[in-house]
Amino acid sequence: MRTSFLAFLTFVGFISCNDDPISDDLEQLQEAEIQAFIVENSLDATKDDAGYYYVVLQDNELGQSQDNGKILSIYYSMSILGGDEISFHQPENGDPIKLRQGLGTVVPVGLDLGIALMKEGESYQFILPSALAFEDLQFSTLIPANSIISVEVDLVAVENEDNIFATEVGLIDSFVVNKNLNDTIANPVDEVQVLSSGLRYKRQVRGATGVTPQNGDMVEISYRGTFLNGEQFDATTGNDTFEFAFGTREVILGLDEAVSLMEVGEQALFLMPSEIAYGPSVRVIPDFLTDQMIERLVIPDYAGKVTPFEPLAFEITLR
Amino acid sequence: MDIGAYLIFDHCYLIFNILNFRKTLIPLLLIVILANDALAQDQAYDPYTGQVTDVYRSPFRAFLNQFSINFSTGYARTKYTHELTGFYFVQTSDQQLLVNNNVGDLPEEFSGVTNWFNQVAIADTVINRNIFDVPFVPIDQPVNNPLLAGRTFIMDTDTAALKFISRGRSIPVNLFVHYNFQEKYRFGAGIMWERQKFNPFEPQVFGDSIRNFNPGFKKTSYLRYYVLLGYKFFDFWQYSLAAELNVGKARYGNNFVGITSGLYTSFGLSIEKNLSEYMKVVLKPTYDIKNFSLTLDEQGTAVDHFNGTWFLHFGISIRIPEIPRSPIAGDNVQVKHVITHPETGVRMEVRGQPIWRWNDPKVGQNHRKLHRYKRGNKKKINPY
Repeated sequence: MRTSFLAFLTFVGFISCNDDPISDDLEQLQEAEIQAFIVENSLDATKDDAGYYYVVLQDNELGQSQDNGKILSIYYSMSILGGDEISFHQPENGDPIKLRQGLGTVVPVGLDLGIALMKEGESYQFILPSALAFEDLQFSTLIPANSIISVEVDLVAVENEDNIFATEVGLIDSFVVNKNLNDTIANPVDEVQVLSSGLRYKRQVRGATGVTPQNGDMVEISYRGTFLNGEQFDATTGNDTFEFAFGTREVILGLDEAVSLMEVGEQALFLMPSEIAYGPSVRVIPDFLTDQMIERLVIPDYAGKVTPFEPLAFEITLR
Repeated sequence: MDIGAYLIFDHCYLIFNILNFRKTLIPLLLIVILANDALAQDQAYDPYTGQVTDVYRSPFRAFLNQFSINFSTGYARTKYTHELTGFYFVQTSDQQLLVNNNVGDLPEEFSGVTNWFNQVAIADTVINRNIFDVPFVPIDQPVNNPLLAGRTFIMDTDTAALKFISRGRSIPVNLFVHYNFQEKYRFGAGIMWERQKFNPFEPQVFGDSIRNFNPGFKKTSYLRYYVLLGYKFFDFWQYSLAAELNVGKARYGNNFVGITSGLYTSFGLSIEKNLSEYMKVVLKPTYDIKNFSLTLDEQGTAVDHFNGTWFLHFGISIRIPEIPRSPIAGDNVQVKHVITHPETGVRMEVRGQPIWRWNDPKVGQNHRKLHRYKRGNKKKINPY
């Protein structure tokens, strides 16, 4: 009898217990797994205080070093530790991908931390425990939940914002030329105006009112946003419009500046470098995880539409 | 056989052993004769029924003996579930609300109801825009930025079923009385109070986007009244098994306002160890099925909630003995027997054992645990 009662109390105590040691256990298990992998493959790996491991595959003592905020161009290949490849982007796949390091604009965060160690021309392998990679995210059978990720990175170039700005302005100007936007007969009504921010302004339909918005006014626009290759990334639909408080930093700088140039009833095309749009946005590696990252509230929605350092075109009508 | 016969038998056998008689015929004959004499002298003995007829037995006790009084406590787990259909589920940085989806597309500004679990309230007006989307201004340090938790999340629950689950744990206190019909069937009624602590509701889809739904309180209580129907279907030595069905009404705590609930039903298996004829300890797992609904608006739109509960009851069951304990202090006779009350002179049937020990035990039933086998003594070389 007494034994039964004690057993009952033990049972109650057991199911009342709420402590969850799962994450600690997982961390320890993954640490053991990583260390076993390193030993098995005779890797010369170093552990960083943040919890990830790195292996210098190729060093470059003379390469340009970097600070937080620098814009990096990389190639990479990513796989499950000791398992299948997840994704890669190599020279045969095109230009390197760009990301801004150290300012919280890169997923996985472990890669953002690790890549800070690299110099231009170097190659590193990073081993990221799930807490610094994709946590418990699962993507079909390719990425099981709580996967340890291995990433090999080649740092191709280190740039600053001025370089990027100049490159993007060059692309925009090429677009103007290619589309013959300065030809007011083929493309009425005005030539393209160049502004100091990098914004390019092409009035297409004049407004009839002469009324221009003032700071703090609620303005109503319809718009269509595209990349320079013509692909649409966002737009108002049908008779729907978008309202915002003009001049209050509610919207991207380029849009505020664009509307400041317009009068009610006017339609115009604006081309803007990323500096006055979404700049570094968010770089998700691999990019097919972007939607899930948005859904999990890891990154903002705009990151699913605009990739880093992307010049944009907005065709706007001020209502 | 009457107790008098037993005593006479004992005395005779002792006498003949002392006299070293090997033959048994003579003592047996003497036993029969003396026993018959003894019985013949008791004018109240009914040879047909074997009962002593002039012994006082309380009819009230005999009546009460047909009932079992049960008290139990234990542990319970309640699973609250509700599925939302016919709504827009909207989540902002500071509230979660439901909007009837028969309004069509959501306008730029709208409102709805919140706290659809226990007490409906009108939600604050929501401005329907996602400030983390194009063309709103980008945010600094966007990865894992805490501001993202404030993003307005909208889903039509007709396109994807949205289900919330919460689990509560509680301590019940249960008291019920049942009538034992033919020692197999049970009819009774009871009352149970339950103090419950429960967790916020967890969404079963879009767990990365939808926060837990918190009704605003963590503890509540239930009071239940019920009738009971049971059937004892198995007896094995000191153990019995009985199936029990409860049907009753649950009164929800003060936190629940405006709900409607029907009868609840509970099924249980009572595992009983009979300590004696009058007392048993009971371990009873049960599961009850119950639900309630909360009306959200004047159109009668309602959310149905299911809150089934698993119980593990642990308690005692007592039957009031049909005869009293012997008033004679040293009377520990292990069978029910007749005495003459030393003060009143009334002949009465009594028991010499307490309520928790067998009267009329089978061999070994009242055998106490030896001192050397008691806890703490088992490993001692000399436990005494």
